[in-house]
Amino acid sequence: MKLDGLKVAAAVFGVENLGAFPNSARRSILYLDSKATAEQRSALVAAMSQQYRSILGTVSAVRTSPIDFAMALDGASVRVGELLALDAQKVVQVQVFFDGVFPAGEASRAGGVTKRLVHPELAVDEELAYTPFIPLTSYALGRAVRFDNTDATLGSTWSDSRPRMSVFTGTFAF
Amino acid sequence: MKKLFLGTMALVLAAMTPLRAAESVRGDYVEVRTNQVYA
Repeated sequence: MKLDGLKVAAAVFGVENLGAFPNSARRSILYLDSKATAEQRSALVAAMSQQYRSILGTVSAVRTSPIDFAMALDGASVRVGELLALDAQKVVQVQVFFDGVFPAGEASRAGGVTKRLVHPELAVDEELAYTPFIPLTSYALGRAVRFDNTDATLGSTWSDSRPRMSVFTGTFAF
Repeated sequence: MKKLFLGTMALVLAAMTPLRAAESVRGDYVEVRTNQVYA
C-alpha cells in the first residue's frame, strides 16, 4: 500500500509536563489526511499507534481532515482544517548525536537526565530542557509565532501567539 | 491552580515504502508545545 505524501497530526494533552515526565499519562487526538483512503487511514493509525504509543498515550479520537504541511528553510507551517494552526520560524540547527542532543556552535549539558539546549541565539529563558517527542535524524529549533487549537474534543482549546522557543522541525524515520 | 500541558506533532510521510517489517518510513516532522493554566 502506498502512503507517499500523506500527512498525520496529533494533539497530545497531559496534566504533567510532557517533557519532564515523558512517560506520564496523556490523551491524544489523531488527525489523518483526508486524501487517504479507508485502507490507508487504517495503516496510518496502526503505524502511529505502534511507533509512538508512549507519546500519544490513550488515543481518544481519530479524525479525518485536510492537512496542509509546509516545510521551508526558514520555518514550517501546519493547518489541520480549521482545528489546528501552527506557524514557526526556524532559529537554530541542532546536531544530533547518539547519546544526546547539542546545538550547533555551543555544546552544553545539564546534570541528571535532563539535556538542556543552550545556544548564543537563545535567551536564557528560551533554553529547552526537553528533547523532541520522537527520535529525529536531524532537526532544528524554532520559535512558534502562532499555535491555535479549536478542537474541544478533549475539553481544552487554546490560542498561543506569544513568540516562544517551543518548536522542533526535522526528519523522522522508523 | 493546575496546569495542562499541551503538545502537537505533525508528520508528513515521504518516500514511504509499504508498511511491512524491515521496511523503513521517513518524512518531515514538526512539533510544538505549550501549557495552559486553569483553576
